[in-house]
Amino acid sequence: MADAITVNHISKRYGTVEALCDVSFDVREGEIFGLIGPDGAGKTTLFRILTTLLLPDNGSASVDSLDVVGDYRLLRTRIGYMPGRFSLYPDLSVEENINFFANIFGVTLEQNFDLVAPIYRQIEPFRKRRAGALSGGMKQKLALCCALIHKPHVLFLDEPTTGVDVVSRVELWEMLADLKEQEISILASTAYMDEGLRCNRVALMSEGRVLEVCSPPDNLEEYFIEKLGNG
Amino acid sequence: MSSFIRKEMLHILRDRRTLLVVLVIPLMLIMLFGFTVSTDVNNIKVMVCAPHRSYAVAEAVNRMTASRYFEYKGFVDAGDIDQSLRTGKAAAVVVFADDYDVSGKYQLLLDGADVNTARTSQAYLQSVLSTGNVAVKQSGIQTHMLFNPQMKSSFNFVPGIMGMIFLLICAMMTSISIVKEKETGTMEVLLVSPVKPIYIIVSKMIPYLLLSFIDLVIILVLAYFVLDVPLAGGVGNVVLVSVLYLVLALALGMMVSNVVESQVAALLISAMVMIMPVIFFSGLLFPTENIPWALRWISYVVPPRWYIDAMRKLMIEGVDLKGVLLEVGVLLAETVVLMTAAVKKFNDRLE
Amino acid sequence: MDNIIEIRGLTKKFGNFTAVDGISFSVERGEIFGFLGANGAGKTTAMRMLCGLSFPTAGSGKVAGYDVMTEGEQIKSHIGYMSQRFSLYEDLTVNENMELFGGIYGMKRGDIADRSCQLLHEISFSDHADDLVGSLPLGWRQKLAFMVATMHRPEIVFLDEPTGGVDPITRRQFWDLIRAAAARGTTIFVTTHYMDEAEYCSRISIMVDGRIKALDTPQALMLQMDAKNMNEVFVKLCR
Repeated sequence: MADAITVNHISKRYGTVEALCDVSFDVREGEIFGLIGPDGAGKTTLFRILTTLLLPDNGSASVDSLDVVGDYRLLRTRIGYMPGRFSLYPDLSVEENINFFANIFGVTLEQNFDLVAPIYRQIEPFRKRRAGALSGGMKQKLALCCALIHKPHVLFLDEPTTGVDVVSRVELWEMLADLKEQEISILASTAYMDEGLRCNRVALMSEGRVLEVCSPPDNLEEYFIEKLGNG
Repeated sequence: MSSFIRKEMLHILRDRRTLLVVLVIPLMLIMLFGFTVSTDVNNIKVMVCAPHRSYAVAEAVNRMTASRYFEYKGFVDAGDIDQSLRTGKAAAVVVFADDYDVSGKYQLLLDGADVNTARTSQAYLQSVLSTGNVAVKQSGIQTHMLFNPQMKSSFNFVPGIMGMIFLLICAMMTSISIVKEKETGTMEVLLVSPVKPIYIIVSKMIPYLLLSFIDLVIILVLAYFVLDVPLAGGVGNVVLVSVLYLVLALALGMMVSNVVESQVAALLISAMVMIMPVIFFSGLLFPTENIPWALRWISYVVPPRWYIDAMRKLMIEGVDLKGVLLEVGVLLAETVVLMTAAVKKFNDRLE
Repeated sequence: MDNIIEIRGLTKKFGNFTAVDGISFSVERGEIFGFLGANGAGKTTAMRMLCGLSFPTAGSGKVAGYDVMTEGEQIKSHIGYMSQRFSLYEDLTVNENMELFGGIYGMKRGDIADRSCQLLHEISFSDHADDLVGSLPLGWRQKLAFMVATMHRPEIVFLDEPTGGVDPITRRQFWDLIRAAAARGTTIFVTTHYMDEAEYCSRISIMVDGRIKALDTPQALMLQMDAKNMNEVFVKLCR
């Protein structure tokens, strides 16, 4: 089985700051892979390279067997991306947001309704409400709905649960588990260790480096601290 | 594409306050400049000093009295002229020569403390005095203001305000709306989607083009019906050149949004880099001829200068499109260059 | 008993919407009080009232001995406050930030210098006193922000999600600081989304839809709800 994402020795620097340093890992098809690390570990930079928004200085990467540099146009039709602090358009209603994103991906809500239905039903009661007036958890659900609207093969979620309460966090991870059943590969980043436990595998990141790729042990936090201490 | 434009329209329509400002500003500026801030001079206090109160002199005085621009204050002795001007009893004194009836010679003494008023008074007086029988017969020089005989300042301001407002709305508003998407992270999602960058650009432009078009109509209606600006060169031509200028301003906005990352920066750059040169170099406040040569070269590059020139010619001089070929040519060239650069520079990546 | 916060029926309405619906509780001097709740449950609104930033629509109470209904200004000068969103000025050095905030709270120059020195020594950061805050890692900034919030020796410090986005080591060091401050008698009032942090608190309250749904020690709550950790307690209460 092909890998959903392969990352080979990727490096990226901004001026004198080394954002990513020789990062390598693979994400298998149909798994939830977690990038765990504090702010400033390089998670967002890595997301932007994999979603074709940034070019790596060194190394190569492919997503869904397409090169992130060479095949970026085709790749953009196959991935879903939810950036950190993503707030959609606060002045548009829930419905307008969904329709807009469906439209730019050249699909309609009905086409892939099966996929987004479980999430959509939860926000449907608020579909006339402006996105800016939704609670944090609802906003995240709407954003996820918009990122899934074109049935992507690989889903990228950059810190989807930052600033979201525990209940909404739990719900979001349950939704991701459902999506995994639909054979969508997921790369998600988080600063919460307990969320790492819900991933099939995790990469522990700190200061632009991947310290370890593993199945999350039960004592993930202790384990991470130990790794940080060694690094 | 259509949904994209629809979305932009919704953004504009839902931001009621900004929408109102955009539609009311041109109205206010036109009214403000048209009525209050006017360099027109009315009721100039004029005194006359004449050794012989001949028929010709009396006729000249009559013409002055008849004009609403002058307030005739009576005769003054040669020795008191200085005093009258000093005390403000008169702003101008006409001294007729002994042989005025024959030679048509006269002298104007003006209160130069207010240069603008003095200059305008001079022009008015010359114009009034040069139309008399004597003057027509004998005076060497005759001055006629063509196209704007009453020298109405609104004729000068309307094109200037148009040059400024369209730059303001098109350039500033588009750059802010694009940068806003960068700030909220929605731009990342748009870029990652299969939408081509050119579509993002075009759909950002169309709503603002429409909005500025509404402003154009408001301004032209006000200019024509309220301020009596003649629109002599034909409404069609004025609109045509204006739309070209609108597109140019949109392209400028795109360029700004390419280089800045925050809404505040977009606002500052739009204001400083675009509005300031309009005021200084476009002839809105100062004639471009008075600018030192180094700066004048800069004024040759500033688009509003050409647009305002073209508008003056079309609206007031009444030439047709052939008369503004140079201006239109420069604007067209600049539009093509800026648009190409904006599209090229509009990255489909984040760097 | 010596309570530093004592409120009864505190209510805040925005138009028809009741953000905080008659909450009553007290916080003892020197305790670490965890103030939890779902997004939109009214936590922030309640906290703003306790800090003297907004006046309650109804209810009564005292914070640090001052009335929440009438003495907002006195409350502000007797508490410390730190939030995740705003901590320190990034374009000022560590010392300049301390001088600024010391000055804001009306401390004397000499006192500010002594206190800065002592606080930086406590977190072994004296060598970096002249570094720009913007050049420091997030973890350090958060620790410094806490130190600055306690600079004027407030009796109570309000912390609004102080550890968002920092690595687990820094998080633990941060909680060591909190516990040290509490041991010296400073009361800590903290909100967090990390449920393991909730377990470090002496007592916690959980807000749901503008009301306090549970208030007890973490151990008692886990026992009560038959849950093995705070995460489960929270989910059971809020769902």
